[in-house]
Amino acid sequence: MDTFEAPIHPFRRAWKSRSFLIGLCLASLILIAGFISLFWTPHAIDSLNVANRLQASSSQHWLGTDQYGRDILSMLMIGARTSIIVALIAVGIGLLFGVPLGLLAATKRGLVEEAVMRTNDLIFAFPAILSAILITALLGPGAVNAVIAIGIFNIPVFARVARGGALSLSGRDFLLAARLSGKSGLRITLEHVLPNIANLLIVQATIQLSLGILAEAGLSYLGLGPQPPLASWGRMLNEAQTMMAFAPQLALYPGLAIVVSVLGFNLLGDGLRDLLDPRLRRRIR
Amino acid sequence: MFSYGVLRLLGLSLTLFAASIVVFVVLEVLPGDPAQVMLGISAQEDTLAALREQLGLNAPVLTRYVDWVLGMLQGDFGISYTYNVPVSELIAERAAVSLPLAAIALILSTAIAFPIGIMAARFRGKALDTGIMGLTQVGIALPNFWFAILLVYVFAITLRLLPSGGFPGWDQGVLNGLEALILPAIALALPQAAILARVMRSALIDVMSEDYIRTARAKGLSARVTLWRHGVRNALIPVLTILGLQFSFLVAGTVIIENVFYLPGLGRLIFQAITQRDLITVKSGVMVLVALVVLITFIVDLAYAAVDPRLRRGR
Amino acid sequence: MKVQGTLKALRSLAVGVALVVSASPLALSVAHAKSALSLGIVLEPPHLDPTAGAAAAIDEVTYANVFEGLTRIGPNGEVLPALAKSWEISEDGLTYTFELQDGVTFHDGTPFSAEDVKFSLDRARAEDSTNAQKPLFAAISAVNVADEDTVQVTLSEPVGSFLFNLGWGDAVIVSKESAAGNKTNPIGTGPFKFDRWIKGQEISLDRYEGYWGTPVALEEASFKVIADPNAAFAAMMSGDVDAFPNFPAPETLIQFEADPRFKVAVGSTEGETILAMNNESGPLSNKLVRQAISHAVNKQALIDGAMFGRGTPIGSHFAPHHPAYEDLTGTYTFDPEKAKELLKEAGYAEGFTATLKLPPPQYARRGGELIRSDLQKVGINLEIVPLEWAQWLSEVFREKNYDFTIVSHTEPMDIGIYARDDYYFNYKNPAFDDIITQLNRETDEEKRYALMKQAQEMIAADAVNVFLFQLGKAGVWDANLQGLWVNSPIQANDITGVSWKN
Repeated sequence: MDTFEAPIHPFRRAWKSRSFLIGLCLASLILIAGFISLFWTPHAIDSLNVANRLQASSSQHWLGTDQYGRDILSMLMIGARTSIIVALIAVGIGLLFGVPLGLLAATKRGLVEEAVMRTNDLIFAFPAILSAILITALLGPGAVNAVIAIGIFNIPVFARVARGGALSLSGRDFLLAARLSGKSGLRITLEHVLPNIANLLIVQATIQLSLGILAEAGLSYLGLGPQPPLASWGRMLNEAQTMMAFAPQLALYPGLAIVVSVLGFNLLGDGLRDLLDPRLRRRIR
Repeated sequence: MFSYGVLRLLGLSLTLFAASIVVFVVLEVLPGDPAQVMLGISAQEDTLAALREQLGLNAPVLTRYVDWVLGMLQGDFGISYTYNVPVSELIAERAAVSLPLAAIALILSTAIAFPIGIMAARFRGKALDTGIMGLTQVGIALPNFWFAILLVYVFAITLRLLPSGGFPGWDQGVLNGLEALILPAIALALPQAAILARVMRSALIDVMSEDYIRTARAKGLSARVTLWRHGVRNALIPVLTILGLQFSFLVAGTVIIENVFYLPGLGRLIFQAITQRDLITVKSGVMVLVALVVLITFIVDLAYAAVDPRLRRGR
Repeated sequence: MKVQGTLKALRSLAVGVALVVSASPLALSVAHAKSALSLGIVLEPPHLDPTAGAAAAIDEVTYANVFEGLTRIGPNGEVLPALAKSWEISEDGLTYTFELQDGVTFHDGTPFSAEDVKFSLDRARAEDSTNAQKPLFAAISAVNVADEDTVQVTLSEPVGSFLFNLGWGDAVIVSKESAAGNKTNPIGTGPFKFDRWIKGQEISLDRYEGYWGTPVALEEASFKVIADPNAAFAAMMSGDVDAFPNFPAPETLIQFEADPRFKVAVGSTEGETILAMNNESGPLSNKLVRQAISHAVNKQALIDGAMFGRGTPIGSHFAPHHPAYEDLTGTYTFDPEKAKELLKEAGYAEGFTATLKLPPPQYARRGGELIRSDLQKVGINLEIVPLEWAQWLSEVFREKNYDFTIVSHTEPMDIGIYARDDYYFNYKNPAFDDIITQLNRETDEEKRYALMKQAQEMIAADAVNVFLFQLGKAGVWDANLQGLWVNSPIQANDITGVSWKN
């Protein structure tokens, strides 16, 4: 690609970036745990056995069992999967709708841009958590609606990043050259602009992913996220709260899981930014 | 500058107008009948009809929208279905908790973030910087409601130093009120402080690489004096922007924390109103919050434009 | 009449209780004890007018404390005199003559008289009434003021439970002058008057010095709204509230029991908790299927897992502490194999899929997870749909758009709902309707009990719903408090007899 300034040893840089490495490890841990849970968990979690409840860690149940006798490790693994899928699809929604809107605003300017950006402002003006609560009150709580509630707030974020990225490219030689060669606006956008803002989008996607995990945890803490029998960290935390005095591990593990995954994806995002585009290094979230 | 302000003000009103339509439409289709919620499961059909009429739920949609918007423009936010008092009164009552809480959290967050951010920038690349930055990463990743639960267990239940929640009301003494807001404010402030510290650090690093800083250093000013006299002051601009955003987040986005500490704040008012189908309170409450967010953004934009003339011509 | 005799006995009991209560303030004043009470409630009342809303939270604050009716319900579900000091019932059971208390004033100073009784009852049964329990007054055909202290109520048909009905919070006496403002500024005749309400937080009451009856020991009381079980636990532990009569986190009770600072009182409620089934929805219209489901649910595990042991198994829709209760818990023992057989017999050997719509309370949300797991084991797959109350009321209760739901019916003596047309269970059995009609007309206690037993047996045999457990009531309060109700015959927090001991 013609804009990369010095593509020297990206992998060596990666190895040197501590945050990238730590982020990669933590994120992979969560990703792998979630992925494995698709095929296998240490115990089944949809068959409850009250007689088996609140057990301490043992070789049978590494992290013990919860108030219904379910294996906590299995719950955490499935919770990882739930979080990641919800956050990932929400990011997908943001990309799918936000990027075209942002690019449209950047290329068409004028009224279209004004309309897109005002709509952006409109969404930003709504307090996110309250609106998500309203949306789930409207559509009913559940994984799909949590995805929608979180996804909507990703749209303006990506629209803004895409527009900003595209505008920063305007006037660059390779765009002029493409235009002179008679390519249509759409083709230029797809062939030249999009690949050049991909880095920006990937970095933003990682950050939104971690915000999405946090948002999913918050929603399911309020009981508005994925419903049983699906496990979710936020709900585990909520249910564990009153039992904290005699079974603190129930509140500890899901909280740690949230911290680890959010931390992981944040660090990964920072690392990727350093890695993909050194010019952005000094910017922050 | 003035015409820029007018233009932005126009955009602001448009946003509010659009928001009012969105809010109204969403609540129109919300399932659940307020009258049924108020009267419960043994209510008779005629009783329900009588109450619906009394609440004005039978008027045509457009009439209700226009009435609502016109009312709000005159400061009349409607009468809450459930509490039977003016919504404006409810909002004022709750704002007396939410605004001070947001302010305390913001002050705390600033008090933590500034020294840390400046320290990190000053020792950029050193072990101290790496340590601080690592900690801020953890801080950002910390779900504030989980942190809040941990705080309650340590300070309220185990040590019994602070109340576990609730709000006595300001008329019970300012100190009692403040005491009730300490733990929630800490829970809210820490993750915000982590973000703010990072912004402070990078803004400072940006500023310190500017030419005039080099000039100042060349003139023989010590590194410390340069940092404080020129660096911090100039780095404040981006930091203030973030502070503005955080303030609107703290006022509107604290439902979960208010739930953990059962504080009667704005977020919880709206949350409860949604579940009780107190639609007029939800409508007006959300609009007030939206207006607040829009207003803060507007002020931040103006401040920005005042500092950076290039922005006045458009965003 | 026989009823009269029992009531007289109860009245003397009430006098005895009153003497004990009146003796305690003397002892307290010497010890200079606390005279304020801070009491936790789970739900905030929408407003404070018990005659215009069904929310139990209204009664939890105002019942007996702020508002009084002609009669009142006592701590064990008995009918006690209140604003009516005595009454006489005509032979045909159609005319009730109430003798009213003297010297009663409303909190705003207006004197109470027979006119207020007429106003209140007429208002409740009026065409445009917004009283949530309008059916309670349906049988009243006229209310006449005989003189200042005597009221005569005429019924169109005998109602066996009429005196009990008048003891509901929905039947309290309000004043013409202040009735309209009762939602925000309740003015009653009770021993406490409304002080202030911090919305979303607490409602405070002050002692009413002009009270006609025995003065109460407490000088002030505040009802703090704490919905979150965790916050409730923390508030209790840290002493922010002195008492939580209906504690929302049963799993934490072990800790309170172990702590000498607290007293845990486990009592009964009128809350029959059921897995309600839509008797007209697909497979559920088949009695065999409903019986199979009754066998498939492990009720004891449910009580242990969802309620941490706080609940009493029931076999029909009837409170175990009622004298007419019949133990039918053995009708459907936990037996998944039997359940499978019954399903096979009904033609659902492969099982089926259905929805389980859950309202917000914890017993429902937790119980739902356990029942889902139980039914899965016999081949019935449930999709859990959590609803808010508003949605539950419209989707499940009104539109009957559901297969299964879990809910606790907290009204006292409400087995009659199974006879209602168009009720959300969609249960139709003319024989049952007959029993209830007879019951409503019958005033002889023994015959009434026999009919009640018949009714219990019938709905159990028909497996209308899965009768899970009687909701336990666990109250937690400061060990130095006395006089709080252990049981909940009605949803109320009667604090008129509460005092601090030293």
